Amino acid sequence: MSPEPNASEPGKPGNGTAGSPSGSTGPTRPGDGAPDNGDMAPALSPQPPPGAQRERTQLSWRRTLVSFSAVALLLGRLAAVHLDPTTAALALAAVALVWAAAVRLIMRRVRNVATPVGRSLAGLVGLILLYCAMATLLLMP
Amino acid sequence: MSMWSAVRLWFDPDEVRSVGSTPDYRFSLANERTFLAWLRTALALIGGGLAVAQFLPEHRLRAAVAVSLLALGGLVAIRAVDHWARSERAMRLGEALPPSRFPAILALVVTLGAGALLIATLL
Repeated sequence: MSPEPNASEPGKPGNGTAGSPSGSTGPTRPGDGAPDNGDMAPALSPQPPPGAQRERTQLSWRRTLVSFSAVALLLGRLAAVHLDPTTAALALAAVALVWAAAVRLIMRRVRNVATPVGRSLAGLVGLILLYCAMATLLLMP
Repeated sequence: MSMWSAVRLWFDPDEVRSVGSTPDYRFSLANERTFLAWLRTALALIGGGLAVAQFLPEHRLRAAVAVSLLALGGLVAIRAVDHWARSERAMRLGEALPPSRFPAILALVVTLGAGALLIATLL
């Protein structure tokens, strides 16, 4: 759907100092399978560098998942501390369910970042609003 | 654009994609990353509210501060998807990106809220 540059993974972070990949039989093998053009490929390519847009967007989704998980843990602690055991178990199950839905949504988007977003943005906002509502309910009484 | 058609854009990306022409994918991905950065801002506010609720048990404004932060985080999240949809539409139509006072308002609200909380805690 979206145009892909020829070099599949330009500017891959972390491999810039991989040295010469040929003939190194050390304990760590650089570049397992994927061709790695780590040396100044963007500067020499005729078209403008794509700027690792896909990687940046994928990492942005992963950072968001980290933030979401932190909020899930805080909400789970609130439920576990402030409720009686039976209700707490139910609330923890709900928190875990919403978190699992967020993980599924985010990892699917990370895999398909080159395709249109579909409903994943509104879906993630909906899951966050669910957490807001659950936390407000816990704080109400 | 009326309010309900704007709300429909959040949930119906086919309608966003029905107007104009598809922009350079780099711009779409940048718009998506901006949305995600706002989402993390919202999650930070929500996490702050949850932290206030649990780690300031003695404070007399505990519930008020916590619920205010939760509501502010929810508002930021809703506004993030709205701004994403309007920016996407503007890029497809070749228009200027939608102007927004929201960052300035949010900064003022956070600053005034922090100041008010500081005064209420010290007095």
